[in-house]
Amino acid sequence: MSFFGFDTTLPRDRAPPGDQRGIFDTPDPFAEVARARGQGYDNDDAIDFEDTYDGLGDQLDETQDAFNDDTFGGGGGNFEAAPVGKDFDFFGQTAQVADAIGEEQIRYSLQKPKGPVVGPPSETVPPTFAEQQPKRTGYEKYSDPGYIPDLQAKSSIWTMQKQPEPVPQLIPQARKMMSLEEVEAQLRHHGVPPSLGQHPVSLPQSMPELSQSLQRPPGLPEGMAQLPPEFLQAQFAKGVPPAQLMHQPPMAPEPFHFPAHAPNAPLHMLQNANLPPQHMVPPPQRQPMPPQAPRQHQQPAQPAVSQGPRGANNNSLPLITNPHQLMNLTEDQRIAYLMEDAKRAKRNHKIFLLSKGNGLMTPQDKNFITRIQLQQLVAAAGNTGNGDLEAILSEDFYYQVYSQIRGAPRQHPHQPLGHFAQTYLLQTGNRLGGHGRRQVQSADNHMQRMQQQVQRAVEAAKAKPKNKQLIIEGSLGKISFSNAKTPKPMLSIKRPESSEGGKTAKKPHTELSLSDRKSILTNIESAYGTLMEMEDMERTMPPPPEEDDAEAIQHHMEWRQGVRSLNQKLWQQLKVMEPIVSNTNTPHPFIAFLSYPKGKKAIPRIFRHIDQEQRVTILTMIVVNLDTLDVVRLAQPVPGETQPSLAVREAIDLFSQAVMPSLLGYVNEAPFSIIIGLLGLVIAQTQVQTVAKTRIGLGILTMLLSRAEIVKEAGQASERDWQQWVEKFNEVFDTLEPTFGDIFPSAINTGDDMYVWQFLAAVGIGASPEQQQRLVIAVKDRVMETVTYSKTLPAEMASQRLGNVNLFMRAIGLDVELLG
Amino acid sequence: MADSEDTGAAPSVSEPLDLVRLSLNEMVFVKLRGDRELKGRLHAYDSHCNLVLGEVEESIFVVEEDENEEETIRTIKKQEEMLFVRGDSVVLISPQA
Repeated sequence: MSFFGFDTTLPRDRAPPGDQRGIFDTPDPFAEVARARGQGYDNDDAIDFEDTYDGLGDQLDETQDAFNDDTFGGGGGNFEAAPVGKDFDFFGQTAQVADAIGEEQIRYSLQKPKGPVVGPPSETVPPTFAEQQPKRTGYEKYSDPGYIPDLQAKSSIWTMQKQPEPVPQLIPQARKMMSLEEVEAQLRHHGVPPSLGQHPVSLPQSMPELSQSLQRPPGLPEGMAQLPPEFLQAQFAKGVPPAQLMHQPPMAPEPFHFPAHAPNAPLHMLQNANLPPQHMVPPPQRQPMPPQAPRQHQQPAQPAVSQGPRGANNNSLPLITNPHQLMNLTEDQRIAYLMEDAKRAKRNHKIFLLSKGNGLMTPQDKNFITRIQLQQLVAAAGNTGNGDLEAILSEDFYYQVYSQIRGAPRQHPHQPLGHFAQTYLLQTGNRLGGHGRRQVQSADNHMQRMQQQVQRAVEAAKAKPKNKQLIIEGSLGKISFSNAKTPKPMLSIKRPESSEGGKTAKKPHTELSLSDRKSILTNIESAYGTLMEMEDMERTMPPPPEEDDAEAIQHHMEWRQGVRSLNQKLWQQLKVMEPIVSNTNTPHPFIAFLSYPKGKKAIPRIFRHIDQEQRVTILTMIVVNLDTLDVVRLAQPVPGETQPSLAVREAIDLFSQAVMPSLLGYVNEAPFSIIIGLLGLVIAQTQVQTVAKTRIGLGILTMLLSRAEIVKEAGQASERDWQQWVEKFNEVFDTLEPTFGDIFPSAINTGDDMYVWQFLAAVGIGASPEQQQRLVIAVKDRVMETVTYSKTLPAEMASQRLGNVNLFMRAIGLDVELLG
Repeated sequence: MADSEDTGAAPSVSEPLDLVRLSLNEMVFVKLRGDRELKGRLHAYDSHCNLVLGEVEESIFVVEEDENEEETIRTIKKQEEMLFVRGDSVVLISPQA
């Protein structure tokens, strides 16, 4: 036969791609062997199929066909059926140069310690040798009679046996280095049912394995790991079939893997303690028939021995998997067996349920729980036999610790103060010592550990505050510690001690920054703080004391003292009494205070808490500084703009809503002399003409003038005061006369000019007839303008405007109607 | 007088938030996480920098990429009468003189 035969066979051999591939299906069988073997060797990481397969098989197809005859013995037929000649004896050929190859291999591995030993460098060894290298080593191992093939390593091969291909059947034989006769015998037996044919081959293979594993516990199959070797041996000696032993563990459902769990798991110990009686001792029914059992087991044993221990699906006994096994049993045996089986399944299910949470806790967790339980045990025992204190202590330990740390009333009068830890520890130590009769040695130990822990914690806590900062050498800055009571300071600002130096350092600062934004805001905030304190104080005012109740009187006195001191504090924070510095750009602190909306809003609240003298001081301060008051200073009409900016208008509105009523409230009660004095101050300290151009300025003037008129009407003014007043009034009138036309908002159609008419009315009432004439002349244009303008307006607005004008007209004895 | 100054000024600024207190009822500029800025009147705050602002103008800056992959910053402005700002998004508070 020619190489065509060889060609045609190859694809068939290769047919199943991927993992379905049998060992002989691969183009390079030795690679598979080496891989299987490699699991037992330390260099197995480096062995991969792709690495070891050098692609020679593919080359053969295309280019090297000419030498097929040389290689395969001169046109032998089929690859498998061909008589194996010497040419194919790679091992023999290799053995001749084995020494050289060995040297080569050592040298190579020395050069490349991590390189794959299997593939020696091709330049030193012919390619054929390189290909044979794995084969040689593998066969050596297999020829060793003491060698026991690894079950796990082979399992993949066993699975392939299920396929009805003839070729994989050869595998075990090939590995065992059988002679040709044996191979032929195998092939001939192949037609016969495998139960007979395989028996002699497989039995000796598995039996020494078992006995071997008995002697070497580490090599036990997985399922056997839980069974103590002695026990196994004993069972073995009793004649229990090894296969039966082997099959016991897999009966458990899949998740129940003995070796997977830590031996120290209590739950497991519990389970294991329950298990042996039924689990490991075989049922008595099966004892009498050892010869039968092994035989039946061995038939499916080829797959089962290898697969079973790995947890193959065994929802029923392996015995039952083969139906005719049950047939062989007697009726009684079968019933007994089935009942046994049901019982076992039930128990296994129970164990499975119990073992659901296995492995969740670490040994440390378990120790911890054990300690807690022991603690509770000790506590319970202490409760029954002992005095109250200790019972309390042991019952709620943490509460006791907490309450003592928090300084709760001590339970024990003998305890020294402030040394909670020591006393506690001493106490518990005594307690335990005093009750040595209790048989809780482990608990005692445990309590000692607890004490040590507490002691350590307390010591650590004590040690900490002592060094609040840690300066690591070579580092910039410090590391500061913190705890709940002394949090880590975010900013460590050294506050100057209340010494002389601190004050002197501070004083210039306050003076310089009295009027800057921040200090003004600070003043406002501190004033608000004090205000709130005062309002709080007001709420907590004690009832007016009885004459004879000394305690209540005392209480009241204290309260009044507190109010007074708060009042002083507030007064200082308002900075009203700061000296008035003339000719400076920075406004007076109090005026600056008023320049903020919240400062304005504070005035009504402040006025409630200050006395009349303080009120007049404030009013005086405002009047004196009318020029610099923001609502006056910023409200000056600017050429080209009809009205002040929105912010200024808002400030004006706020001032007239918040501050003016307070001032008016005082002015309406103020003595006439003060009104005269205030008007004098306006004339002396301010530029009346500019003040009068603003709404607030006019408002204050109106306030003073109308108060004077009321005083006059009421006849309360003395002749001398009145003279004084007229004097001042004339002065103001003369000053303002040229600008009467300018005090109106610039355009007729802009906003509200009522306040102007109010002012003019106040002036007109107080004015002499001659002054009234001048006044009318001064504002006649505006009056006429307004009247004409109002005719263009809707009736409602028109009447409003005219009403405003009429305020003034009526004050001087006229009426708008007359102008008709 | 000097003593009273000390007592008056000492409790006013002892922690950083006291500076925020100075801006109560004043216009403040608040920078928030997520490229947002607020300008408004500070009505209230707490230790978490939770804020209540009035008359707020909120500016959101959105980076947009046009076809030429040029990044343009679009500003979205919103007006709110009153706004509660959760403190965890506050980056800075600055007085807006």
